[in-house]
Amino acid sequence: MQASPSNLLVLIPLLPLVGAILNGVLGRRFLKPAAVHTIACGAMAGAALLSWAVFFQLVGMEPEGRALSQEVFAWIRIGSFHADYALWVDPLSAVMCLIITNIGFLIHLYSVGYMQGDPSYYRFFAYLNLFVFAMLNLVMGDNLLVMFFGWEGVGLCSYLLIGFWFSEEANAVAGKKAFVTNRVGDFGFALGTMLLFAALGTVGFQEINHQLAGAAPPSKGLLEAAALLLFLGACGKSAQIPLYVWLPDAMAGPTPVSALIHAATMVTAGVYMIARLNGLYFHAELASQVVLWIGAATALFAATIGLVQNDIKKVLAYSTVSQLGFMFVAMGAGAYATGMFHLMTHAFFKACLFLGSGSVIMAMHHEQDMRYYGGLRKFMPWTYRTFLVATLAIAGVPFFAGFFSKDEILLWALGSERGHAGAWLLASAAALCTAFYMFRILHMTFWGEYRGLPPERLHAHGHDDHGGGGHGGDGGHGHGGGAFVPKESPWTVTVPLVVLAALSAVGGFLGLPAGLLGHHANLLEGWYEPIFAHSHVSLQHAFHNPGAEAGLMALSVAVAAAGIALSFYLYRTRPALPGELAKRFAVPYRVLLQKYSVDEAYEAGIIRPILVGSREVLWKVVDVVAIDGLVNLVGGGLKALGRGLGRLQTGDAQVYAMWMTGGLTVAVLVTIAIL
Amino acid sequence: MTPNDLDLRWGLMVPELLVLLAGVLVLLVDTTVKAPDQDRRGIQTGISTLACLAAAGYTAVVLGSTSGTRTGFGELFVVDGLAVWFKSVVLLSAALASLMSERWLRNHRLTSGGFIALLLFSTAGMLYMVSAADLVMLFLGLEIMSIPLYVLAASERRNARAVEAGLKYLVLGSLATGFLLFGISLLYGFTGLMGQPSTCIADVVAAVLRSAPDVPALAVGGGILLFVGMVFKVGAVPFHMWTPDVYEGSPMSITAFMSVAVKATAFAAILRVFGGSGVLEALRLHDLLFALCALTMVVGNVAALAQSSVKRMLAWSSVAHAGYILLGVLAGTQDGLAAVLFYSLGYAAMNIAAFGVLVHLSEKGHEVERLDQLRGIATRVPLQAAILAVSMLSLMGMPPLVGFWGKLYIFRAVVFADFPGHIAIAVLGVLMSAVSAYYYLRVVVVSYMSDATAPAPAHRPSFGNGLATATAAALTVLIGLAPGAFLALARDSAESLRASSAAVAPAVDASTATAVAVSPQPPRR
Repeated sequence: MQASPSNLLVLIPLLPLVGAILNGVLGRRFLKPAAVHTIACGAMAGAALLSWAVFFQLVGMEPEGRALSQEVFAWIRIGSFHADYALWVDPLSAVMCLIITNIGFLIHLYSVGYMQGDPSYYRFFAYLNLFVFAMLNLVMGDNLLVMFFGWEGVGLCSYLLIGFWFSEEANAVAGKKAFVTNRVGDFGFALGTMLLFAALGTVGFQEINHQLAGAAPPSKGLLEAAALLLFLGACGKSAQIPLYVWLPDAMAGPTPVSALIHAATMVTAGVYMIARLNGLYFHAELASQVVLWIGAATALFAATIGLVQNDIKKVLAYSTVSQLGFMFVAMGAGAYATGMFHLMTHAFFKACLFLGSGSVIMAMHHEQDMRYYGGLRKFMPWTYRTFLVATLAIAGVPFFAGFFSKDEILLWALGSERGHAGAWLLASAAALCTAFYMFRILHMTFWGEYRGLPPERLHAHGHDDHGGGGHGGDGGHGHGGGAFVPKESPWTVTVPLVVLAALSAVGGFLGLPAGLLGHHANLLEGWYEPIFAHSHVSLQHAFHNPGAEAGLMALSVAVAAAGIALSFYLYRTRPALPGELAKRFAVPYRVLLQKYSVDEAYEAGIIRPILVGSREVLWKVVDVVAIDGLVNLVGGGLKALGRGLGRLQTGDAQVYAMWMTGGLTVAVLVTIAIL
Repeated sequence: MTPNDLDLRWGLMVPELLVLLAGVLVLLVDTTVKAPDQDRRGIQTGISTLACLAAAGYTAVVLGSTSGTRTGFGELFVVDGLAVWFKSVVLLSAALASLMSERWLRNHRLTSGGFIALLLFSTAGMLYMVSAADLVMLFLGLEIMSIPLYVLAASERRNARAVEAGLKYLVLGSLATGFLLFGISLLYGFTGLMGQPSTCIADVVAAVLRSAPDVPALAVGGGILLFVGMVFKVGAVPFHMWTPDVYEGSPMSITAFMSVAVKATAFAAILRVFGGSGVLEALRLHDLLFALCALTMVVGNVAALAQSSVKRMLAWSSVAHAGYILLGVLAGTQDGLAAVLFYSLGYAAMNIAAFGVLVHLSEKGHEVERLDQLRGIATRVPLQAAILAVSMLSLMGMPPLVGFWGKLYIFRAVVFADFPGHIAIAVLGVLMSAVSAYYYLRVVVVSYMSDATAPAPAHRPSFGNGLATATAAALTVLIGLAPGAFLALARDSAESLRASSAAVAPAVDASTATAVAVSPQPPRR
């Protein structure tokens, strides 16, 4: 595809970078909180407006040539290896830019209320802006290296923000866990990049997809390996089995961070990467199968854990892992546009859910255990309404955003040439669980009777709350022991909620089912058409009729309804039943509550052996004896030689002159002699 | 010769004239401006910095905007991509060195007129040398550059070590100049034998190439002498012995200036005479250069290991870096020549940053020299310590700083070059680069991981030096982040070398002793 040049593009990531530098350098001493958030939100607003400008410029172009590019500067050019700092915006990255900058702006706005009074206010906004800068590099980069720069950048910012309240050890540990787990994935990403360069001689996305468009490539084995390694990177960043373990712990960070980084944007990087490299994954059929099955397994696995968690953010975290699994199912089935569709709707409703949970957590004095909630509907009407809409969207209730995207994924999981009934079954089961645990949150949090915090928890939270001092409060919610009444959050919190809820309600209409309403109904698919044109995976023949699609749709509505009905039965009709069930099925319940003990298994099976092996063998034997011995030997020898050379340096000018003349004489004699 | 033949294209010489004029102005300030020494120093360093920057701007923007080779002044003076690149490097270094000098002058209560003026005159000499199209012009430039430096090295008149440095530099420098002059005269004789006595570089090159492969011993001897005279300024082993003593005795800002600008100039001259045209091979200098490279890298790095003085360590390290850069000349390919240009710029940035920090930490009678004086500076002056660490890591060749890319380009060019032993010497270079990690990292370790022993000296930081250090550090990082852009520029600049040697080629084939054109200009003389 031929792109038109544009000088606007670099400004989109540049604005957040400038904001981050300003707040990071000047924030501590010179800027008042009002100035800090004005800079940060202003930078985001600017980036968002520019993204819209770029988007509309794209809309105005011919579909075949719909791309803008900017070569900002020549970055690395060594021999045939070219990787410039170049940006590329086409329909795919334009949508990502819109999601990142617009949802990013809303979350910045939300943070103004949420982080109020935090002593490190400037640091928070500096990191948040820096994150957006890195994320924009990730999606706008024209080659794998720029993407990798963004990839590592978002990882760093994620680490910094998870451990934002680092004075509490658990937060710092969670940050470290996220970072180390991602290292594993990033290693795969780097190796995959190198393999791809070895196979195709380029790291540019356009060249890669161009080379792979059309006939099957020669070095298929290398490509499969590269695709698998890159997917390992995606497993790390997008929290899939086996590297998902960091994401639930990442909820230690401030809630806006969970919404922006760990729900709406960063964790979708792996999905975006596959979409960007669709040419590669189209040919790598084995890797695509792996993607499909890992995605399906993760979707169900995480959803089952979500069934029994009591921490509201933990439920949402597992829900995110599960929903990301859905997106990978789409990617594995070759339905790239559908995966991107779900990525977008998920960004809407999950951001809304996280921000809603943050609003609740603020009102509940930083208590995250839902068992102390209940009946909050009457205290926080706006939070409730928006949360409800987003829940309907994620549960797959017809005509809300998640319904269309999830339905389409299920269709492709079963009906695609690369689909499989097993994967479809796993995903459908996950959808059932999703509807159940999301309504369980509604029951435990907003409906029923207000249970309230026991005084000792209230007190405990009042003080060691993130070690950050009196943050999050406008002083309104009852310090000092007495009964307090939860109250609605300020407008900076509720306005983003309302906007996101609205998007969750109507966002699905961008991708109406093409099978039922005709090809033109699915706006998004048409929009992505030029990107995925050469990577077309078809539906199996049986699924080409509208009947099959309608049937599947009815089935998934039934699944959602069943989940919802079950939640009503368990939490409304027979409120005592969940406890009884937990007792009767104690073992499975324990397993779920303990999250299948995966962390413990990793600790015993991987981390311990590595630690012990490193200490007992690598350190005490290999390092101390072999490496140190060799290094000291060589170093000692060289140092002695150096002292010897120093002795030649007598300080005597005559001696120096003698060396010069001697050197010259030898040079002349030898050169003339060999003539 | 009529004035018309002289072809006085003053526009080409604006940077030189600006710098010379600034030198005169600086001297006038001493006699005309009635103000405290403090203010006069400010005015003089200001004039010098601005003049150098203006000249650099003119060079880069006006002269650099049109590609191709332009000559003037009776074919003595040439402005091409090579000249533009190295003039920019030299002028930038001179501007930063002037900024750094203010503090040293203040500490030693010296009037700055003479000091700054000499710095500027030396810079002018460098500019002429870079633009020399004729060996006599090259010699004149070399002397205009060197003589002020002999004086500057001994600026601290009451310090025996400084005087010793100046005197040694003078004596050994004169010896090397003698070699150079002798070499030029031999080459003049050689061109005479070939039917057209000339000292014009292009004529000499053409004559040598014409007589290849049986170049007479007269030319070979002349070539070696000329070459040795130039590598003396670079500090290649065994013509390096003056470097540690002179660098140690000179004021810090002058040491920085010498290690960066003098070297860049000498490399420009080496490239101008020996680069890219095959002269090196025709004169059988290739093996000599091979040996020099190996010796220089080994001796420079190994000797630096054993130093306890930071300044002396940096002196030896500059010898080592000269070895790396010479590798690019040795490769002789387009990549190699471009790498020489890139490395010269990068080395200027990182070395000036390192010296800037040392200047910042120094006081009168308390000059930071020994390594243990850097103990714990990370807590005392965190920003300066960070800059020192960045410059050390860059000198060591740590990605993504500029030093890494410089080394990568050089070693890569050698690996892909085609001469016997190219892999071996590239491996040697990489190994020696690993050795250098020891002494560079030691600086970082001492400044970050040991406790301060001496109390923080109370002094007023110098704005000029701070600015110079920050600029150099910023360049170290920024060029490291966008190396491709600078390498592309270096490649284009080195192109002029190719173009001029290509212009020589037809004349060689014609094997006539008539005009040999370096440029589109009509034949001369």
